[in-house]
Amino acid sequence: MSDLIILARTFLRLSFLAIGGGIGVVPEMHRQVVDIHGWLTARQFVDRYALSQVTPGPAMLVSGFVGYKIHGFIGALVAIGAMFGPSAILCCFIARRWARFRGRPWVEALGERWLR
Amino acid sequence: MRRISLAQLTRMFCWIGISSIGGGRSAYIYEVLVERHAWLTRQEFLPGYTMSQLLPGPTISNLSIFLGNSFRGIPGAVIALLAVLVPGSATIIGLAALYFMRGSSPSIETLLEGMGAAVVGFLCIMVARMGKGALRARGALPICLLTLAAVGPMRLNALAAILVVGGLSLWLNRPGRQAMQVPPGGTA
Repeated sequence: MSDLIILARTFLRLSFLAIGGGIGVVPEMHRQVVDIHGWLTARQFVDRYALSQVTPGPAMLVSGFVGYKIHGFIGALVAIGAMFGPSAILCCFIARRWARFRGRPWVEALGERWLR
Repeated sequence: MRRISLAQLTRMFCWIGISSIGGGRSAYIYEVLVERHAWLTRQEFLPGYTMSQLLPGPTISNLSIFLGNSFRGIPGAVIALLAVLVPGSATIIGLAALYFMRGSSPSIETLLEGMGAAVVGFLCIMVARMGKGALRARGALPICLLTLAAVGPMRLNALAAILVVGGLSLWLNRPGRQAMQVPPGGTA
């Protein structure tokens, strides 16, 4: 049970670090998974990240591989849930209140900057 | 914005989830929804895209939520997110199960080795593509090197690095300076 909690906490933290896209958290994920918790070797991490790149869906689903290694099927669900769930709820909350942000100058400016 | 049924939404985002292999998925969603199928205009797409970059969490899941919500409210957001995630999750879990059942055989190891090399090349392309856009900002190169040093060799906490370096970068690019760069005839 406690390994599931550590797993959830680790990927929850990574999820909220992923500002501007998932690729930015790969180094921190490597640090957590390989150096701090020792769940995978550096080699295994690269291999699994590679696999998650060539399979459908976001590469951050690599969390499923780590979760499966720690606690089987349930572990995979917990890791993917922690990676995508809470940030999705936050995003949905903001999307529902979207009307209040629409038209603000900073939103328009950021949008033009990113998608030319 | 066109009226889209939940069934259409499910089919479209499932297809996006399955076919989005590799990077640049947000650009792919833009191409499919705005240019190919005209489900919404560029102006309707942009704000959701901006917010999904700014908010924590992977961009593609945030973007799917924004788009799903704008088409069909909360059910649309939930369906878009699940449609993008479920096919990939099933594949990953299936592969993980297979890997653990069979153990590692030399042929799998060789296959993975080749793929690891390909992905390193792929990431270099992504970095180059992102760099072209991002390095134009004020003080971008020193900031980039500072982050590299902090997270790489110095192994500092990524959260601390993001807060400090991100704050510095925002301050360097604060709106006051941008406003002065509006070209003549531009709408400020």
